[in-house]
Amino acid sequence: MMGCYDFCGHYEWTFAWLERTAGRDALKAYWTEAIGQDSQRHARALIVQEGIAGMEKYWGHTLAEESPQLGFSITRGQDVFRIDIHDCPSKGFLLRNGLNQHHDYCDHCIGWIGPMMRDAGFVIDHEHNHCGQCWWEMRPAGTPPGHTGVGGVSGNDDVRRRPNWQAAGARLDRFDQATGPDDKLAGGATAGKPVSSAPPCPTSGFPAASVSHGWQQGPPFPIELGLGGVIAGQQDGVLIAGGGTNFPDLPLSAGGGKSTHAEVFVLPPAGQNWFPAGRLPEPRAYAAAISVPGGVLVAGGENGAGIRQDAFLMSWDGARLHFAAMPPLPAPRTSLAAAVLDGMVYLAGGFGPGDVRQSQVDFWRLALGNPSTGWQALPTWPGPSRGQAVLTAAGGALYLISGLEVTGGPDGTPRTNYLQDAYRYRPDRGWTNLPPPPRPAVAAPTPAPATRDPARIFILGGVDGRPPSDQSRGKRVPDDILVFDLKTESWSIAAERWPAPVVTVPAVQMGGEWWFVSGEIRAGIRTPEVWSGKPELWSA
Amino acid sequence: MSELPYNDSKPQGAPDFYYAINATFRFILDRFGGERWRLYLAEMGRDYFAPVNRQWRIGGLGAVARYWRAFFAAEPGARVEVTEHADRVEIFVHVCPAISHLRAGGREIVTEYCQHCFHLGSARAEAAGLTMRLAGGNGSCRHTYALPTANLPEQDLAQIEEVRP
Repeated sequence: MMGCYDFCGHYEWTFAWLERTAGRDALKAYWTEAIGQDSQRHARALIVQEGIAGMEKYWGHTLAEESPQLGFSITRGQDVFRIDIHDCPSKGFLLRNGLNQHHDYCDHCIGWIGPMMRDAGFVIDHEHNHCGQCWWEMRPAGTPPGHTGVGGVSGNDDVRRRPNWQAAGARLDRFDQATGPDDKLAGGATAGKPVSSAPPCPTSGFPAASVSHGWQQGPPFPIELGLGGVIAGQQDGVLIAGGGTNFPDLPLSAGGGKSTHAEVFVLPPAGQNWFPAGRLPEPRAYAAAISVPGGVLVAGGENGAGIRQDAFLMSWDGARLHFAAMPPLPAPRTSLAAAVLDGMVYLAGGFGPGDVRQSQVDFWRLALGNPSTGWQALPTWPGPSRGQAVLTAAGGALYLISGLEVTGGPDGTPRTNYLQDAYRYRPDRGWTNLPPPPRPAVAAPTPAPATRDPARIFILGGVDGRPPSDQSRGKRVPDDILVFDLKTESWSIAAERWPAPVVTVPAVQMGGEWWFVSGEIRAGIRTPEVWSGKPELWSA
Repeated sequence: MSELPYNDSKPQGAPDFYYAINATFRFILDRFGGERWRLYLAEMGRDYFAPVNRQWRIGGLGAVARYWRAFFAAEPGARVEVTEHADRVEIFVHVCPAISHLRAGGREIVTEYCQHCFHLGSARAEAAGLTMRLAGGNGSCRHTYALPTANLPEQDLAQIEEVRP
């Protein structure tokens, strides 16, 4: 199927095919008839009928749809309609993807717009630089000729004020009072020269990802300070992440206040940028977040109003977020761990409300196929209560590893215990003790990445309870990866290191890759970095 | 990271581009005839889509399935299910995003529109050492990409429905 996502790519290829097989006149006829009179008939109807008002209606919609980042500006003056394209979404697609299939892609615009303007009684002054920037001024036919000076119509939005308007690779094609591609001025910079011979245009795309032994850095999360306790999951390959906390005004070390966020962003399967998707119903962080069919199940968590008890399914339809209520938790919980096994969502532990947020021993299950039955309480594990634990499903069982035990001391202050233990839960056989991991791993990414063959679980980083003075200031979160072999029931440490260790971050599985969005690098400090890794490459 | 050979900076394409694809088909069919249109699609399948074909040749049916999942995730309005079997990948297009958008926009869809998926897809499959078949059309259909050992019956073009108003 020819899709609209990469339309500009096969559109350009079609120009080359038509010109090669049927000649330049056929290509011009294609732009005029197929694009101008058929595909864009709605533009033609508006502009022929309404003139400049129709242009404003048409380009206001089309450019916003094609270029949501608004890499353009529109200016309407007396008897002139001007467009400045700063980052052409169409040419930008070709540049980012290294496509150069036709010698003058940019001509297609005046190829269909020119005849349309002629029929509407307008002429065009225009320049494009083949690097994704151009400007257009449409005036009634009969207007005296001569280009407007820089900034004369659109002021500071004039694309000619960009420092890269004539950068290396930029070659100006100029049109005065034109109505088609043949009106290109003979003295234009590209006259007689194929654009492909020009040096490459400067591009500002996402830099090549750095890859090291199964790790890849993705587009940074759009919250510059980063987030702790972010809520993340995936739906049909689209990464969805939002909520979380940071210290926007002052660092924690300077007494800054924690802020809980509600913004949600999506990263599409092939995406190089995150996109705003909407907002959570209320700010929330440290919730259980787990990818399930149809979206991301979010349960519990906390915000400025306290620890939450509700749960919902967050889904993304390609255009907007949707939230569907799910059965509330039996009690308010935050920093609880979640995993999915055989169509059931399991939640373990968490912290409850109170002057001391004590850790809990709850183990709850929800049947995704019949959620109306609510959360079922199951027998707890044979060990201490905990929050910020790791829970994951592998080999038909659940594994609960480490976590932070918090109890109220006799003087009312919290007592913490970094747990160094592990348990397996089989739905038909209950809990079993497992050998303890080499160290505690509190708030490590959960559900922990796992591989099927060999059957292994990978605990990334996690806080081990060592006092900060024992660790380098730049690396307070361990960067080693603990590996549990399900067959031998033994622990080891992978040779591979985690390049960007963080805590309080969910792990999101997409095929063989596991994604980690933002997170805390040490107390009060977050990072916007996003990483993905392939656990099959970590154990060598 | 990406299963798609060409990547945009936004999550999904602009659906009005389906208008241009439909208009392109109409232009080539009206001006040059059906044979040239099929040639256009076959050449595009071998040339423009060469990076995908290479991915499929190297990655096999798993790569085919991953590609189509990623492809339809980037097409607004698509409702598609991709099923992997040992010798084939089936793509059940419950809602074709193109036909759906063209209808919603009141466009006259070329009756041969659904055939383009076969002519384009079979050229791509052949370049990857696979076979492709198509059944249905007119808004919902099933694409099958298979290993040669699957011995799929020859494509019956009559099985591809014309688009009706």
